[in-house]
Amino acid sequence: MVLNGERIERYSRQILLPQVGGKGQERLLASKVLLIGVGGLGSPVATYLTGAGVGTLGIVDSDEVELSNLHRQMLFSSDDIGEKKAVAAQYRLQKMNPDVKVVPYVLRLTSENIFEIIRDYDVVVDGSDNFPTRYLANDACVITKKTLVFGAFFRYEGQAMVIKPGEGPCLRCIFPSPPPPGLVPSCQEAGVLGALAGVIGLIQATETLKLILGIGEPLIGKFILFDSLGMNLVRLSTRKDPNCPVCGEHPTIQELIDYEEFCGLKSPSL
Amino acid sequence: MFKLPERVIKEVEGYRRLLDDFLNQRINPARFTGIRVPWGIYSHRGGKVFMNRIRIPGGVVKPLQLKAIAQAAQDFGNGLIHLTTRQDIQIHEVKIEDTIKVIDYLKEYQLSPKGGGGNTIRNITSCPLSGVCPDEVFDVIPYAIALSEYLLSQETSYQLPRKFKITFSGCTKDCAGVLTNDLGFLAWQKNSQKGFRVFVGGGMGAESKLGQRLEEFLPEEDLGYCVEATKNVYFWNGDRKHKHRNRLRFLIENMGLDGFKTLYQEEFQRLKAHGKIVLEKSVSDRTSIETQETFYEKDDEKFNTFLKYNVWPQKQKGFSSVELRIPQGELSATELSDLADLEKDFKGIEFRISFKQNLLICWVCQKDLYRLFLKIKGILKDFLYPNTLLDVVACKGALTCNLGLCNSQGLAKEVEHLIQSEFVDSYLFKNLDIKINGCPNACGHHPLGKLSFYGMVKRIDHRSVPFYKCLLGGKREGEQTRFALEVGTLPAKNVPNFLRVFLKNIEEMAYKTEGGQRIEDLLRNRARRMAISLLKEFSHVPPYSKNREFYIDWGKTHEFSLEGLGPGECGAGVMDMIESDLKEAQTSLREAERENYSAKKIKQAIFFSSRSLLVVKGLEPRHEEEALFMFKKTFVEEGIASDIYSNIDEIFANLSDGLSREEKMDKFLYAKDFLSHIRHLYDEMDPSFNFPKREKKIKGAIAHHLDLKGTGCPINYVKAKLFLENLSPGEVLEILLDEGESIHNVPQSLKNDGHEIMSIEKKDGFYRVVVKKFNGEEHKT
Repeated sequence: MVLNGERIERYSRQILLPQVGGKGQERLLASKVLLIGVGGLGSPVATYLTGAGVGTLGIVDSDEVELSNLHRQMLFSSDDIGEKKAVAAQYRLQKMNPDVKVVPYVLRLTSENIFEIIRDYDVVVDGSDNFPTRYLANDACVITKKTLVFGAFFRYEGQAMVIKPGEGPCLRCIFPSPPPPGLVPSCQEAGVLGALAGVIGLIQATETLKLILGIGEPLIGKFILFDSLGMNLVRLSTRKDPNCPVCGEHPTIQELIDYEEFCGLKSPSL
Repeated sequence: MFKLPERVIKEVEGYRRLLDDFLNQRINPARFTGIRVPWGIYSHRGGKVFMNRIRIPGGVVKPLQLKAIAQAAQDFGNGLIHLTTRQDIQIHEVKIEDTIKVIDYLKEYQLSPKGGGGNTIRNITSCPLSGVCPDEVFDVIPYAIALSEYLLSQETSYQLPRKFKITFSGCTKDCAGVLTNDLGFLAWQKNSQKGFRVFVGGGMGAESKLGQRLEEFLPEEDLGYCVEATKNVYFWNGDRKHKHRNRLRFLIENMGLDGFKTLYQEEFQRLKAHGKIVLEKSVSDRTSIETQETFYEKDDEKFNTFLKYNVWPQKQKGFSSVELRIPQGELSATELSDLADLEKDFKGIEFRISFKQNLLICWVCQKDLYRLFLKIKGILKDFLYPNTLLDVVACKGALTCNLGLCNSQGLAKEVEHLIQSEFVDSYLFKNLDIKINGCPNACGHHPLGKLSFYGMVKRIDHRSVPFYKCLLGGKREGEQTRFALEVGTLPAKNVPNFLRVFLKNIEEMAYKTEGGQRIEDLLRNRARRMAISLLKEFSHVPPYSKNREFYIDWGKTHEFSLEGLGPGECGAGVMDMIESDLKEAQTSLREAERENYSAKKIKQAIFFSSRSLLVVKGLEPRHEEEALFMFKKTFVEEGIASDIYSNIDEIFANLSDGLSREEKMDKFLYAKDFLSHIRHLYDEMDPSFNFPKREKKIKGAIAHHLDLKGTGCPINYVKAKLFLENLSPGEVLEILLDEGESIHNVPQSLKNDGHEIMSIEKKDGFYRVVVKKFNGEEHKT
């Protein structure tokens, strides 16, 4: 994409940054990001990446917008209720910045389709809120050596990390397997402070932009824990686990597992 | 006799190598098209087999050469021969790997397809009866041949903006059409000095135009200067980029005839001052000049018809020329070979090809005519009545041509059938002719037809229907040449029916006005009005459900379709080769992006980009490293391309899939920048393949300028920053800035980025800031 008059103006405050410039902006315009889930985390991620001018933004989400989503999913409004989230998001984002090609995938990620979908993207951002998808995304990214920007939240706390296969730990290095079904309540039962989702989503968006631009120090092997009530941000150094079942020295997981049955979560909502 | 120039023979090796590259998939089809078309090798519809167009300078061909062509058609083609309206001979359905065999075989007979197509000096034609015609001022064939030898030895003759056609006519009857060629020479005598009246810028096809007078009288010794000067002006100024308006006639239209003449005369004088152009006319090897004149009628009705229509007495007493009507110029190789063999029985005969796609046999002793007639009867079944209504000229049309819309040959056969059964020996029979073209291009010379048709397509009832446009009243006659006027359109199916009525009507008109109006004047007036109203009766196409016949072209059994129609190849050349490479580079980039920045694809993109422009320097690299090396030598080191690319070969060599994704993305962006830089150079290239040189980068000298007056903060700074990004360290940029905020902020910001502010000076209410791009690595803060 050419940096012509209007684009120069649109991205001027970004081009001004010493380490971005025209070349960096061109990199952004050439980049492709896949967002898994456009809910509490996905809304801010999609909004800011679109503003920054990533070239292609893929959005995977099979759900519809519900009234109970609107306190934290700022991409949607009351008019969108009942619409497919991926499609409603595309409509909104395309208006925000026509330079960005938004590709909606109205489907659930499974071991069958995930490779096909992530293949075309440079970076994957996990905005899902359920363990089956989260582990599926982790395993698929490790196997195909794609960088994954992980994020999660629960009530007043959130987490984030960048998983760069080969360079740092993956999700399973820290949590080798998903918790058993029923142990962790879903959003519907737990509740969440909307703004917290925004904070974590923006950490993910920031990391994604840094990765594309090749600037700063990405959160590889650094696990962020954010507590909104005490307003504490902790950065834990983590290491690759040599015994990790997917990225360790002798991986036991060599093909993908659908955890749906195992977790007992038939239809997780984001 | 024409001798193949050394250059053409040498270049055969180049073609052999490139054909081999193509066959082994080292070059792609689009690029190869740009190589083979100037060698007179065109693809047939469908692209599987090829036509080879062999140029016959002056249309003069020896029996031995005809036999060789027949042999080549037999061994490598489909055994058929086509005589063209440009005096070439085509062989058809040659496999691509055999094209080199045709070239190799024919060069032993001083024949070649080189320059038979593409943006080249095409076959130089002349009156087919030149040298034997009683009316001629002098024999023009030696000039056509000498000029062919001269021009075919020059590299620039193959790199013109578009095709370039030259012809010679021996008298004002103008058999060769001096006003319908890019350069036409009409033999002229002035105070017993031989010379030519010269016409420039004629041509038929898209926007046909008649040539205009370039020289009142050109002494024969100046012929070379005149041709070369015209060619050079065209070469330097012609438009190579806009495909449909790049013939010489458009250049003249753009600059005006006077503007063109000025440049031409300057160039003419320059050439004269700089040395001699001597065209070496070959001396005739003929010794027998006159013999006994003979009365030759026999008690054989067919022979008497032959005498009446086919035989022309020569200016040399006792000799005649015989014109054989070759329907649509189509002959079998056996027929051609048998005709060539006539020389064994009739020593000294010579063959010519006419503009009507006929074959002429010259230097026949009149006493031998009956014997010859009987022999010909044993070879051809249909050769009587040349230059009559029956002698329909038709291009190859949709049968083989990529551009053909209608099957002109099928219609021609149908029309001949009609004439044969109803109009032989009518008043019109000797006074009218018919030309049929499969499309609006003019290979069948329809703009010159007294009565002509060209193919077109109309959509009716949601289907394509073959149609023809009818034209009337063209004539080719020196400065009196006129193009035919359009009359109207009619479905192909109705052309014979329309013709039957039209010809009957006009026959009546002509009888009534005999002695008064000439037939061509009639055709432009009364007959035209009659045709217009008559066409109304024949223009209706019944719905498909009522009559399918209208939806089927002549000579075909299936419904009409445009299947196989493709872009014309005739102009294929350097520009297409460049564009093909740029397209490949673009495709490689797209694939690289799709395939995780595949190093292989990025390398391909760099390779295609670097090779694309080499062709204008006459370079044809054999492999990737050579392409990069040549690019560095001829583009970077010559200061045409940016010296950012002086290490392009290293970058290329270090590109591998071992690199990290980020590094590969970097290289991908590099390749993308490189391609846009090459595109930029291509855009800047002038019509004569010259590039503006980048200003030499003397340290400290201002090489770039950026006017930011009227641009506010911070966009002015953003633009300056973007501009500087694309410069090499040490390069100097001059920026113009407004007073106030701009001059306070921008220089400071640039300084913060590490650039050096060399000077700031106030000038008429704005500021001139000179910045030098920082040296060394980009600093990271």
